[in-house]
Amino acid sequence: MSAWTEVCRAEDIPFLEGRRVSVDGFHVAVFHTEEGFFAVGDVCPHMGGPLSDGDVAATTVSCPLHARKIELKTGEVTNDDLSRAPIFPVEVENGSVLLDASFIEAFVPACRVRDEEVA
Amino acid sequence: MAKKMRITVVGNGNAGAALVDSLLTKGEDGIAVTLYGDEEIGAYDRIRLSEYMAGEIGLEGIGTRSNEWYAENGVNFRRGVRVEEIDTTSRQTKGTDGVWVAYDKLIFAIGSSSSVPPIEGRDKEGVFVFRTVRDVEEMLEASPEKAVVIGGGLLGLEAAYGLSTHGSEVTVLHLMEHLMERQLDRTSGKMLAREVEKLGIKVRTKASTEEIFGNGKVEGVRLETGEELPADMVVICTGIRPNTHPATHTRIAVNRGIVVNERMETNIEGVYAVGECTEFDGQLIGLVAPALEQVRVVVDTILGDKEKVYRGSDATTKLKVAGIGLVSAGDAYGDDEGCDEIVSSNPVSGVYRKAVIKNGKVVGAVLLGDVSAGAQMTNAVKGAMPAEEIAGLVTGSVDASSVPLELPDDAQVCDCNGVSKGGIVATIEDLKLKKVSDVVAKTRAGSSCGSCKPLVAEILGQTVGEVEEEKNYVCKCMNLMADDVRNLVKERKLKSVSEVGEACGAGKVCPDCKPALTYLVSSMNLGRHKEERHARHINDRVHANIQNDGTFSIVPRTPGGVTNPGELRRIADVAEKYNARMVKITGAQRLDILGVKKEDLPKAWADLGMPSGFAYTKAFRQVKTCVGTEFCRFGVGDSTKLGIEMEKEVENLYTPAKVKMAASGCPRNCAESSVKDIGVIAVEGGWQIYVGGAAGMDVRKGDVIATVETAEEAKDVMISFMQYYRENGNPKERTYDFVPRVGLEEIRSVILDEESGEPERLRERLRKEKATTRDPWLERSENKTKNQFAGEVGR
Ligand code: SRM
Ligand SMILES: Cc1cc2nc3c(=O)[nH]c(=O)nc-3n(C[C@H](O)[C@H](O)[C@H](O)COP(=O)(O)OP(=O)(O)OC[C@H]3O[C@@H](n4cnc5c(N)ncnc54)[C@H](O)[C@@H]3O)c2cc1C
Ligand code: SF4
Ligand code: FES
Repeated sequence: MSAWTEVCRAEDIPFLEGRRVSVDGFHVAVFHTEEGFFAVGDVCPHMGGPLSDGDVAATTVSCPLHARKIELKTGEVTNDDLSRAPIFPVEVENGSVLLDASFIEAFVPACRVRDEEVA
Repeated sequence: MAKKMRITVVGNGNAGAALVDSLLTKGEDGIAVTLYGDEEIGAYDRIRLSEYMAGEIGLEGIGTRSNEWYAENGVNFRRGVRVEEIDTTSRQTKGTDGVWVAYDKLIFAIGSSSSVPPIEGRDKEGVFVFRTVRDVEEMLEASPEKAVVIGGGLLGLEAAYGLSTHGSEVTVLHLMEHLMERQLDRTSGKMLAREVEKLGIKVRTKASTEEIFGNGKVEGVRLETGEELPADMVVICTGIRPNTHPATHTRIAVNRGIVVNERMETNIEGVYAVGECTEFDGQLIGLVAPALEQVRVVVDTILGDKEKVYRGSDATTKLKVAGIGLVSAGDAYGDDEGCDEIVSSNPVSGVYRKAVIKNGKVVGAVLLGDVSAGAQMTNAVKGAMPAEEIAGLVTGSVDASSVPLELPDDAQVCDCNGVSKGGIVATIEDLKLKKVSDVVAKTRAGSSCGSCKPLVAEILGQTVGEVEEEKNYVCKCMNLMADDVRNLVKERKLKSVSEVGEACGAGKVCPDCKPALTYLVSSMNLGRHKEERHARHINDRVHANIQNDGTFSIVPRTPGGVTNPGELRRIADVAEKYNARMVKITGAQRLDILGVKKEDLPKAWADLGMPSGFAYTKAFRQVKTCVGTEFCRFGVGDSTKLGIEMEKEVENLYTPAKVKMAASGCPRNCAESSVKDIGVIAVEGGWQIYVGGAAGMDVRKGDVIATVETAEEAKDVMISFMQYYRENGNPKERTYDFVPRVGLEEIRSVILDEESGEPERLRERLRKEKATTRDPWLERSENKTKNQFAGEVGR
């Protein structure tokens, strides 16, 4: 079952940057890259850094806290032995960014950390 | 359980420390080691004292060992205890602690002492030798204005260099016709003198010191010619003399040194000696390599392996004076019967290369100015290789990098630490090492005098194919150096990071180099580049420092550390209003409001009404000041005013790595000017300017680059230096690395030569770029990117 939700407008996210969106109370980082938009849980697998504030090139984001690099297509951490970051399918339709959050519950342990802190 | 063999080592220098290491590894549980060391500190690497003195490394860099280390390794270490008496019959030693300790084997490793010729006045206050950590500390403590170093050998030059880096005016007096006459021939010795003088050290050869004069304290030296040189310190570096006490009054044979055979045995059973205290075959030694060779022999002898013998070793020397490349191996003269030489000499560029050939084989080498062939040449001397193989390297027709080194596995690469090629290769393979620095750290090869480092790099290259470059690549993906990028930007007139990416690929596949590229593009265009925010780190996208929880900190600019009640009130209000987690006085005389949410930053800045302090980025930070003449009873210069003016001159400018400054009103140096990237200290009649200092990950005392009369001149020098660094520094390279890399003299020759017009052009460029900048916190009302400060976007 898929659950496509509009999370923001495409123009909300400058080219080669990321921004945070909230989906069902979870923080997700959405990036605007040369290959389109990507979404990944906004919690770095290293120590929870906000990936939405990271540095972007090609389809990689580098965490702003300690520079762990995450491949946006797979969620893999390419420069450390860490578990993957949760990724979410993204579509852009008529200028709105849609995200398939159907599996977001499965990532609760990863994403909720931040959510609770913020709450 | 078998009884342990009791081994007593007397002397905790280079040989003693290596002995203990080797005994602990090879002797395993079968031995019990007692170690005497009469210096107050644990073993250290004496060779690196020069670097310690020059402030290039700290005490930890010369490897002092802690009491815990000895305890953990089961060594009975008698720190600060000197052995005074030996009874070779009952096999016991007695130290200054009055305790007798029994041994089965006794090894002397008591080294040598500086030998001081009987110059009149040598016991005056202010006369030093250069042998121990203590000597260095006392010399630095004395901090002379004018120093005379007697002796222009390796040690004398290193002492002179060390003192000059601390701002002393130094003259080296050398008795012989040219410097380092034991390692260099006449031509290279003379060329070296010129190189040394370029560092601001005066050299006088054929200078014989008659007397050190002064009323109790050194006031100067008088030469044989009657000429007097004023000085408040004299350092005597005229040679060494083996220590032989307490062997002297025993049955142990002592000549000039403690006499040993090829197994390092003395004439008394169970008593051995190694290192500089020994005399073997009439020869004394004065370098680490042979000492360590002897250590290997003695350990094998004691543990029952009689294979290894000592036959004397060749001397390879490297001068450890930053900015001067010098390698000398074997015979530098070639005066013997049947000797020939190949020489290439260019006194103008200061490059000299020479190989001494005997019967067609290489027996000596000298390289000055260009030591790129150092590894090949020393290897050729060690292996007595045929002259043809290196001729091209000497004449310069062959480039060193194109000559592969073929060494057998048992060839010794690092003489200081006795590491063989085979050992290095095995370590590289076992630990999958890729960087030279890692290989040095794990094998210790190259960690002492550093002369074999090129060879270590070469071996790493041969073993793994491609060496992970530690050249300061700006873009590691494309192997680009800062200068490559600078050239490209210049040639193609590139205006943005994206254009650089299109031109060379940097910053396209991985984001790591983008902030550095931004710096290069913006500074090359004097701020008239096309700003791309995606190419900056988050700190520079929102002009605040990201914290571990994703919130940010705010450090407003308070020039010179001076603020006022109004600002303080607003800071307090902002901290309260935006629920800051903490307000803190920083280490740089500023106030930091920590833990503010990204979306609150623009509002907080508006409420503060103060400009950004750039505490979050690689930029000019602040000028720390003291209260100076306005308030302080000791002040001789208005440091507060100078600091504030300086801060205004350079605020808002980005730099290769952060730049911190300070201005102090007198040599008490309350603003810590000597450990800042750029610092200034008011002295009677002027201002003394320091560059290249820091007290962070590396502690380095800055070098005095100039002393000028007025505050205006001081600012000029500071600004010229800053722009020179901005144009030539590698991204992320602090001035404490930049200054030694480029060399103080080189920097001086550019930034102080007002007649050339270049200093003024540097300042012009800085001002031109400064004119394009503005307080980034003004972006609060004119965002640069969409949702620049949004905590989140969307519905
Ligand atoms: C706030 C402050 C500590 C304090 O509470 O006093 C501070 C805080 C940080 N320092 Fe510092 N440094 C602070 C003064 C210093 C000083 C002292 C000084 O400036 O006089 C030093 C040693 C002096 C020096 O640099 O020569 C210092 C040496 C460092 C270093 C080591 C730099 C080096 O090359 O050796 C780093 C790491 C780096 O830059 O890579 C660092 C990095 C940092 C960072 C920025 C780390 C980071 O990137 O997040 C810290 C930010 C904490 C935060 O969450 O906001 N900080 N740091 C000080 C801010 C000064 C200011 O007003 O601008
Ligand atoms: C500044 C400087 C730079 C140098 N640079 C180089 C270089 O680049 N390359 C190179 O190969 N060599 C260099 N040398 C020489 C090198 O340091 C020596 O060859 C080496 O230290 C000799 O080792 P050692 O153990 O024999 O003597 P030392 O290192 O002198 O050790 C002897 C120790 O025994 C202690 N001792 C003496 N008598 C007693 C006693 N009765 N009881 C207890 N302890 C005692 C001494 O205090 C000392 O700590 C340099 C030396 C100096 C001073
Ligand atoms: S540096 Fe000198 S003038 Fe400045 S406060 Fe300290 S003692 Fe006073
Ligand atoms: S939290 Fe992301 S790298 Fe450390």
